[in-house]
Amino acid sequence: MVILWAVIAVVVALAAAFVSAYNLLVRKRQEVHSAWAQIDVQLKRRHDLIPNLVESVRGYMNHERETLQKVIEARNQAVTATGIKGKAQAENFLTQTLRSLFAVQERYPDLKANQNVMSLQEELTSTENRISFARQFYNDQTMRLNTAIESVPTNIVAGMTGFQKSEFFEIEDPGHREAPKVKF
Amino acid sequence: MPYTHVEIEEHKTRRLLFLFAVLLFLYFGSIIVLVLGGRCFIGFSGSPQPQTVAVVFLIALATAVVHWMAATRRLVDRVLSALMARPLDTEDTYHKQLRNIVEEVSVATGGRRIEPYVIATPAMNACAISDFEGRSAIAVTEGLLARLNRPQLEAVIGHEAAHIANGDSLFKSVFIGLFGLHEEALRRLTGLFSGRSGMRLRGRGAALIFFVMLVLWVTNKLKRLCEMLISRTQEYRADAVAVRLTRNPLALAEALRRISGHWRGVGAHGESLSTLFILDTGGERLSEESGLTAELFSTHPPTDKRVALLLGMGSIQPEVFEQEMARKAARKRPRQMAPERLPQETKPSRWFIRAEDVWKGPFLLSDLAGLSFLNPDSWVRRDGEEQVLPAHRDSQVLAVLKGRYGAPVGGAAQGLRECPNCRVGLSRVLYEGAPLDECPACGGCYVTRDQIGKIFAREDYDFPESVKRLAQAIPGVRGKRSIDSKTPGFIQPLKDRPCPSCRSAMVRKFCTEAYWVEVDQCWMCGLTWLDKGELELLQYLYENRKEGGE
Repeated sequence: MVILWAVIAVVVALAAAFVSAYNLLVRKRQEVHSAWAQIDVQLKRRHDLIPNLVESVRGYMNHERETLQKVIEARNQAVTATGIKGKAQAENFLTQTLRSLFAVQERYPDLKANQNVMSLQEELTSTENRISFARQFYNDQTMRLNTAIESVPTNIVAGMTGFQKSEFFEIEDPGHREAPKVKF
Repeated sequence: MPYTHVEIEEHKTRRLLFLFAVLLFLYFGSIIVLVLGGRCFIGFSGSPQPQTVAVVFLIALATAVVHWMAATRRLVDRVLSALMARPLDTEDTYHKQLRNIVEEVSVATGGRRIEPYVIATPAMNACAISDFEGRSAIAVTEGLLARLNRPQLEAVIGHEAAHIANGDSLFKSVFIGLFGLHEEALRRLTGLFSGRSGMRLRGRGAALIFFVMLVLWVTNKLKRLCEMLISRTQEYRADAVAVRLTRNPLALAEALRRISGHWRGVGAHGESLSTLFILDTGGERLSEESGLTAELFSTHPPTDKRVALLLGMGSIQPEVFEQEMARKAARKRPRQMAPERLPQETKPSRWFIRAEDVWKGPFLLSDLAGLSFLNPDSWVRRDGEEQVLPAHRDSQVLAVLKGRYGAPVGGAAQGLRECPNCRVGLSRVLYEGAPLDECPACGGCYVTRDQIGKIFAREDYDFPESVKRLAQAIPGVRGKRSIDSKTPGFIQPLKDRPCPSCRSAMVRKFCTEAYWVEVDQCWMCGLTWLDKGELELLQYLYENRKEGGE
């Protein structure tokens, strides 16, 4: 009799552990999804801003047709890109072309005096920052999910229920913000 | 984040429970003391009955609960109004940038909603407020907006967002909500009974009042003690989280160093709300010192220590950093001349117009619009009439002028539609990023108190030579604290000119005792009409105030 109760107790404990581990994984996966949704919102914002910026600087920058054309192309590519990896690549390329546009812009002092261009530029800078922050947040959440999937004992549950590791949203740009070492 | 959300939540609840316990204890203590004191007073003695203690406990509990509920309702709104914080102006370029930065940082925290506010003072400081209704707000002074660059501002906002995410700001806001009242009550009472003009009480009444004040004083000291326990380690942690959010320890170090070198006060309430801010609001330099006293009695940790930790994270030598900061402080920011704000192009029935001391014309009504020398102030005379009028008093000419400058733009909601001198529609222009309602004809403008505050804080444009010369001609009374009999305190009511915003009387007076610039100002709301150039003049006087008096 005692043995039976012991067995039941162990089974119940195991089931409880299983359920809580499973719920933990589900919560982490959900967090990754919502973090990804945030990146998407910010990317969309950038895609909507670029045509406006290009239109308002076009008049001043007749000699830079090529640069502007590149920005537009990169933007169109980014809009149509799919998958985490594909999107990451297209967005990296867009960031680079935008940076070259900003670099060229320095040569046109008239542009700096234009209120409209200045405020668009501020919006774009802000969007760039939002994207990088959203990416940072997404990668943090991804790392948590992946850690949970790989570590004992959640890895057993993940294996049985088929949880997949999430992909990082990576950039190959050397100019991006390095994570500093935090010391207390 | 240093710990998981679950841990943060538990930590939050524990700290709030602790606060409630402190509150309960305070009430229990004060009521017991009052009861015992009262008994001695009437002549009873001996130890109190257990029933009395129980009743006192219940009363204390009820009072504490009521106090708690009252103090935490709509906390964000109440603290914001105590700080006189305003929502952002959607047209102001600095405010737009602030809104963007706050949204960026909110993305970094995973999308928590944070409302940005500004405090119209040239001081430098920032604070975070949260309440139980789930609202969070960050308030930033205009001085901070004007003097920090984008990354520095972002670092500061990151620090405040860290407080919000950690639950520090909820705790502190509740704390302020609970005990700010005590401090306020004490200050009022002391004010009432102190000084030569204060009220006099004698006998038992005086003793009772004295007793209440004593109790308030003790609770106040206890509050200070609690304040010391909570604030300092939180600041270090918020700095670390800010770095983790914005990945820019150097910008935060720069921001802290710049803020610490400036005036940080935020008005009358600043002192009792000091805990909320990124650096203490007091004039005393306690947080700059180290050692036991400073460690014990300041609300914030020493800035040097905070900066040193941040520099460690950014791998920068402290000496190099200090040299660089000193060099930057010494360097004057290159300023460009303000672009001409009003397009002064203009052109001209049978009207004669006085220009350059000769009568010109006659002109047809249709030609008037094109005359460059016709202004609302110009003298005009109808052909065949004797009477000479200023252009804005002649209805037909005025109509032409109004047509020329277009319909009033912006400001219509506040009733600021027309220039009080020229009577043509005002237009919205940007001066140093702040939207102003300016007369396109004479260049005068309306400014509110808030607008003056932020323009004073900003240093985008240099001044024309004429302004500098005029400023030097203004007598130096800048050092004086009060008007004495020799100061010409001139105030002239403007009867036929009510304030367009609140309809109360406007007066012509010197802007302040210290700045002898003649302006038209509303007694009630502070709306001020400045003629062309006076804004620059005031700003020049403000910025160069140290070299002047004292």
